[in-house]
Order: sequence, then C-alpha cells, then structure tokens
Amino acid sequence: MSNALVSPASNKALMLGNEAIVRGALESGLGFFAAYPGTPSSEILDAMIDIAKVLGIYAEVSANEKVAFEACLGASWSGIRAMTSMKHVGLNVASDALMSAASMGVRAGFVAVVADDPSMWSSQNEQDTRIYARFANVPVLDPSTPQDALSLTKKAYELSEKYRTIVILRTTTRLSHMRGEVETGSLPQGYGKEKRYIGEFKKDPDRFVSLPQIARRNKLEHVNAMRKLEEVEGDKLVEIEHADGSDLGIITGGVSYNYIKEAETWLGISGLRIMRTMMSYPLPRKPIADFLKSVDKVLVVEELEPVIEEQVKLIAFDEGIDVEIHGKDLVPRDFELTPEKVAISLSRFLKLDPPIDFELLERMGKETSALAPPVPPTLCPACPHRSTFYAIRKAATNRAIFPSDIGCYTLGYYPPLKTVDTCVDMGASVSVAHGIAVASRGDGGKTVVATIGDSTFFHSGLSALANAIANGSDFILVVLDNGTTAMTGHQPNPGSAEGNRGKRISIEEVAKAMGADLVEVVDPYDISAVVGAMKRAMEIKGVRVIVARRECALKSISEKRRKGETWKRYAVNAEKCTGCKACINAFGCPAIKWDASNKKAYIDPEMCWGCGSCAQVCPFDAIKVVDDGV
Amino acid sequence: MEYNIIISGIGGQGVLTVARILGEAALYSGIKVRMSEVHGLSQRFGSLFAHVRMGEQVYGGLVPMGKGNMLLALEPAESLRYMHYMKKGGALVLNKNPIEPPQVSMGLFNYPNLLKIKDIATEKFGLRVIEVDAKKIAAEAGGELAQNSAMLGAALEIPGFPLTREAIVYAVRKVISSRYADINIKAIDLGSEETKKIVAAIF
Ligand SMILES: Cc1ncc(C[n+]2csc(CCOP(=O)(O)OP(=O)(O)O)c2C)c(N)n1
Ligand code: SF4
Ligand code: SF4
Repeated sequence: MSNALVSPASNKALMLGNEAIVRGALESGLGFFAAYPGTPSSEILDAMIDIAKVLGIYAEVSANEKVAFEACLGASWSGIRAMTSMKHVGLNVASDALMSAASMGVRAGFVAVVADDPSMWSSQNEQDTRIYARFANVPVLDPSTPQDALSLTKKAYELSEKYRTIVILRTTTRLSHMRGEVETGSLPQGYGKEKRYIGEFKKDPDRFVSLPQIARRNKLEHVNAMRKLEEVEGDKLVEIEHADGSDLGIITGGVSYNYIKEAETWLGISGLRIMRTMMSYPLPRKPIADFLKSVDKVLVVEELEPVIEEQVKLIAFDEGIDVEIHGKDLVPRDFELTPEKVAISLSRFLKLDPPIDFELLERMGKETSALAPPVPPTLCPACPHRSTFYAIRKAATNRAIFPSDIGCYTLGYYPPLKTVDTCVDMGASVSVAHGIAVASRGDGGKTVVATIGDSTFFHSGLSALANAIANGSDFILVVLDNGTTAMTGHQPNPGSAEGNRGKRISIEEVAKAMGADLVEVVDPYDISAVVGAMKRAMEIKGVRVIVARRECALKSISEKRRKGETWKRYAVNAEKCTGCKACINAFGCPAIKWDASNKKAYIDPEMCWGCGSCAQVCPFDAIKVVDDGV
Repeated sequence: MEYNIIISGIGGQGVLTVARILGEAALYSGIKVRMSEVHGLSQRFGSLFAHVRMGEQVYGGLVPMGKGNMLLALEPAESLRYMHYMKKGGALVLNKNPIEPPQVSMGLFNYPNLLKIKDIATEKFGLRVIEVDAKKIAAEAGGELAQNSAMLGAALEIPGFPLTREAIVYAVRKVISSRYADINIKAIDLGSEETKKIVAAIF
C-alpha cells in the first residue's frame, strides 16, 4: 500500500495519474467505490480495494460497469460520496444508466472516471468519452498531469454537489499511466476511525422514479443546472497564458497541453496565447468568446474527436466573431497525439519549418524496427488457456468455428493455437456463436466452439447464454475459468474463490440451472480429459457447456514467489527428442526454445512454470520433470 | 537541463521497475520527472517500453522523437524499435543477452545478429553503444534477477546522466523488496565498474 495515498497529512510523492485520482477522491471525502476493471483505469480500482479497510471506505469489484455505476448512484442518493472508474468501452455498458440518471441528478457527489485509450494500446476500439458527456449533457473534466488529476477530481466533487449532477472525469492512457511528482492535500477528519459509508436514503419518488411526467421536469431542471454551471464556473476552469501575447492563439486541453508547451520550446517560439480548458463540455462560453476576440487565428489542439473544436466554432458563429479557426485540418484525429505530431501541427499552423524531419525519422524507424522479430503478447508459460485451446483444437479439428471473447485468452488468436476466430465486445462470444450456429448450417454444419473467460462470463455472458438456451441454439461453450480477471491485473469476479465480499457463484450450477444440454468440469492441465469432454459434447446437439478450471498460472507463480516457494520444472531429454517441433509449432509455450545447431527443443528453466502440458503434447515422451520443486 | 530515457524490453523483464527506480531517484534528487508506462496487454511477454524524462522544461510523459539521450535496452533486438527516438550522439546501453521470442523458435523469423544491431546504432543513428553483459554481472552479484541493476550501473557511467549512485541506491531500496536489495546494489557497482573503460574509449 502506498503511504502517499493513505497518509492523513499532505505529502509529496511520485504518483500515477490514476493514483492521483484516488487521492483526490479521498481528499474529497469519498465513502463508496464500485468498479469493474479495464485498462487503463484498473489501478484506480486496485488502489481503492487495497486501502478500503484501512480508511473505512466501501470498495468492491463489481460484476460489470453498469452494475457499478448504478450502485454508486444508490450510494450517492443515500448521501455518500461515490466514485466509479472504467475504461472507455465500460461506459458503453453503463451508458443506459448514465443517460437516464444524468437528469435525475445526485445527492452526495458522484464522479465517474472514464479512461480513454487513444491508439488502442489495450483495447478493441478507440472512442472519445467527451462525446458521451455531451450526449448525456453532463460536465466532463480533462486533466493534463497527475497533479492536475488530483485537483480536478476535487473540483469534480465540488461541481457534482453544487449542481446536483454526475460529473465525468476523463483520462487517457497517457495520463492514467503517466507518473510524476504530486503534492497532495490532507485527508478530511475521520478516515480510518469510522465507516465512511453509513448514510441514509431519504425517499423522494418525485425525483427518483423516472415516470414520464417526472422525467420531463427532471430534464428541464438538469438543463438549467448545466447552463448555470457553465456560466458560473466557466472562467474558473480555463487558464490563459500570455494574455497579451501575439494575435495567434491555441485552445487545448488534456495531455495535448503538455505537447503544446514542449513544441513551443522545440520550435523556439514564445508569446503564443494559450488557453487550456479543463472542462471540455460544456465549453466555457464567455471565456472562449473573449479569447477568440483577442486573436486573428486560432488552432484547437485536442486528441481524438473535435469536441472542443466544434463548440468553439459554434460559439464563434453564434457571437459573430471574425476569427480563423483551425483544428482537425492540421491535427491528426485518429490515434494518440505525440509531442512530434503536435510540433508538426503547430509548425504548419505558424507556417514554420518543422523542428525535425519527421517523415525521414519515421521511415528510418520503420526500416529498423522491421529487423526486430515481432514480439506480440503471448499467453504465459503454463497458462491453462493454452492447454485448453490445444485440446479444443485437437478434438474439434480445424473445421470448427471458434467465436471467442476478451481477456488473456484472446491471445489464442496467434499461431500456433489459432483458436480465436472472432472477438467483438465482452460477452459477444456466446451471442455471436448463437448467430453463427443458426445461420451457418449451409455447409453441412460445422461445429461451433465458443470460448469465454470467467470474468467475462459474469460480466455479460449470462444473458447471452440464457438467450441461446431459450432459443434452442447449437454450440459448445467452453468457459475458461482461471478464477480471476487476469488480463487487467487479477481482480476477483463472482466465480472467484477469494477476494469477494459475499458468496462464490458456481458457473456449472448456473449453466445447469439454465438448462444447458451438457455440463462438464475439466482440468486444463489434463489434456486428454479436456479432449474427452469435447468429444462427448460433440456427440450431442444443443447448448453444451464445458468449464475448464485451473488457476491462472501467473497468479499462482507470483504467490509462490512471494512466499518463497518453489515449483516443478520440466526438461527435454535430448536423446529422445526427434526435433519434430510439436511442442513449439502446435503448442507454443514460450519457455520452450529451439536449439538450431542441434535441431532439438529445450526448455528455459527460468521460464518453466511446471504445468506438465508439454509432456503430454510430445509424441516421443521426451519431456519429463527434472526438478520436482521441493 | 532535459534528459530523456527510453527503456525497452520484453514484458516480464522488469521494464516498469527500472522506470520506477529512475523516477524515484529523480524525485529524491529534486529533479522534475515525468514518466510514461505501458500497462495491460503487452505485459504478457510482449514488446514493452517506458519513458523517463527529467528536467524543468519537461511537461508530458513521452520522449519526443529525435530528442532521446539514452536508450536502455534490456534485450538487444528490442533496441531496434526506438533508435530513431534518440539524438545523434546519444547512448545505447545494451544488454547483450537475447531472449528468443516464440516467432523465432517457430522458425517464422530470424533473430538479428548482435553485430548488426550495434552497427545500425552507430552507423545509421550515430549512437554510442555501451554493451553490457548483464547476465554475467548479475550472476557475479548473486542472482540473475539483478540484470537490470547492472544496466543501471552502466547508465551511471554515461557522461551527462543526471542521477547519482546515491540516488539510484536509495531508489533501489525503496522499490525493490529488501530481500534482494543488496544483490542489486552489488550489481549496480559491478555494472559501473565494467562500463568505465568502454565509456572512456567512446565518449
Ligand atoms: C466493457 C469492457 N470492460 C472491461 C474491459 C477490459 N477487459 C478486457 S478483458 C477483461 C477481463 C478478462 O477476464 P476473463 O474473462 O476472466 O479472462 P482472463 O483475462 O482471466 O483470461 C477486461 C476486464 C473491456 N474490454 N470491455
Ligand atoms: S496472466 Fe494468467 S490467464 Fe493471463 S496469460 Fe498469464 S497465465 Fe494465462
Ligand atoms: S511444463 Fe512445459 S508447457 Fe508447462 S510451463 Fe514448463 S515448458 Fe511450458
């Protein structure tokens, strides 16, 4: 646990943007936290879980983002300051709640942190949360640095309570995972001494029951509150540099501000009028209008969609301001901005030579990188998913269709496993499998074998499975149950043995209760058992569920390392190895390497985590335990 | 002063830990620091990088292309992805021990020759290459896990590197489990020692 997060007094520490948000929430008197993990937001959840007991706050890993969002709403309505956090696509899941709750408003402050992932470092798509803020008509704050993340989190709570509105705090990968020095404030009294989540729900059905006549009144009240917020708070949420500078202006926000500051030095210019807005929606109208009147030409620099730009253009039009406005004509709209991209946009705006020959450097970079072997992420050594995928392929052959889902197991896409044919959004494995099973009977009916992780199953697989069974579908669903939400850092889910506040839910009992036509539980490390279950499943029709259960290897090895325990290691007997490469080309554990001079496989002892699967894969019985780890 | 470092390697090698150590050392030294880390998918044995930036003029977490002072490559081939971020005359501190990725084991790709990597760094990008046998040094210090500390020891010898041994040692004690701190500090000193001569020859 980081001291800087829980220390009652103010202090200075190196913090991630995400940690600064946690501290900001605590300094604002947070009592209730609920979230589902997702890169790049997960460290907020992890930190909250970590400190909850010590500080007396309530923190839970929720089953999905919608559930978390609504739980926070309930807490806020009970007078407890609440926060949820999620990745950008999490808000798609929670958007139903957001769109209705927006106009119903809050009682105690409620801040939803939403982390965008420009360039899709760890995501299936790129989307701009600020558009959701505009859609739902709630304010969105957009910090630039970790320090800023702390202070804007506090500002968000202030606005939320003053105007009774949900506030979105939007971060991006670059900010969430930026580390920098942060000076914290102090915590309010009472943390650690009492439970901070004991409130009271005061009934107010005329606000909290969104029947049409109530919803109409709520909507107008909310629209008014938002108008007032923009008018009253607007000028406190902008910063202007060089107010008496040149007649060229920049309007920016979020991490783009950093790149503008660096581009200034890089290009050797000074005196540019820079307006940084900390609120991207609603854009503070009067300060923007005044700024536009003070310049001849302005460049809007923002990452992803032209959210600020479009509002700036509207304001200029409405107020009849004669100013040349540039934005996405000069600044890239797709993918993450970088210092060099912004320096080039700025040099084009100012009609200066770019500070570097960007195209040349990029070309040289491409040529050089092409010599490096591609190293995409891989399933860990001993990962149970690998063994399950291998067994599925062995039983179902190449002719089967493999809809899959999101998690570590999406890496089954890569050779040699190639058992992931589709991946859309969480839970889609089951529903897409259903659609394929119904619609692709034309070519004689291929077997459809869907895979889904345990966390994803509880997140949004449940309703899809109910639908498939109720509609008499025909596919095999293999639940890859490693007992955790591995991809995002091993948070518990409702099926986990530990880490939850309440009861564990059994996946196989759920499947049975829903009426699946076959339910089996197998151990992925026993490859022939998985193949056997697959074969039995393939003999019948209907929705068949196989639960492949074995703890995540990384989780179990990390625990062993922490406790100073050892584990088994396997090695290849060079005399028996014929060099067939089955262990590498069909199975592909990263601990197994190829000795090109001897034409034999060998196992890197540092990387072998001892699952024994490769020993079952080797057709020549050449792989054996060499160190039983005791 | 502005000093930009990129650390490159493969998930599991400790890229983020090295970054943390540098960051804490900068904070300890009263130097403004901004870092970018990559969390998530790539941590599963994929290519991984972190940026560490020090100096008053530094705002964002990303090293601007062509402005890097040091590339700390924990794995040789991984250095190839970031050389174009370095300045001419910048330092490439290179752990000479390759980690063979699955695509190479599968025969889908050839691992580049170490001499060629160094050649590209010097000829094409004008970098000064400091080759470190971090594996050997770590073994000498008492454990293979201390390879990255050997690399930090080497970095300490590069002219212009803004952090002191004292600051790095402080940060190692703060970031690394106390059980392994001494081995790592020994690796730092051995790394420095081995590097002194090479640095004297090329700087
Ligand atoms: C709506 C949504 N929320 C969160 C995420 C981030 N995310 C990707 S995979 C995953 C969970 C994976 O857990 P599980 O299904 O158990 O598979 P594992 O990684 O353990 O193999 C999460 C939370 C996402 N992609 N979409
Ligand atoms: S973290 Fe766990 S589930 Fe993910 S690849 Fe590693 S072993 Fe497999
Ligand atoms: S036993 Fe084989 S498959 Fe399992 S981790 Fe070791 S090398 Fe990999």
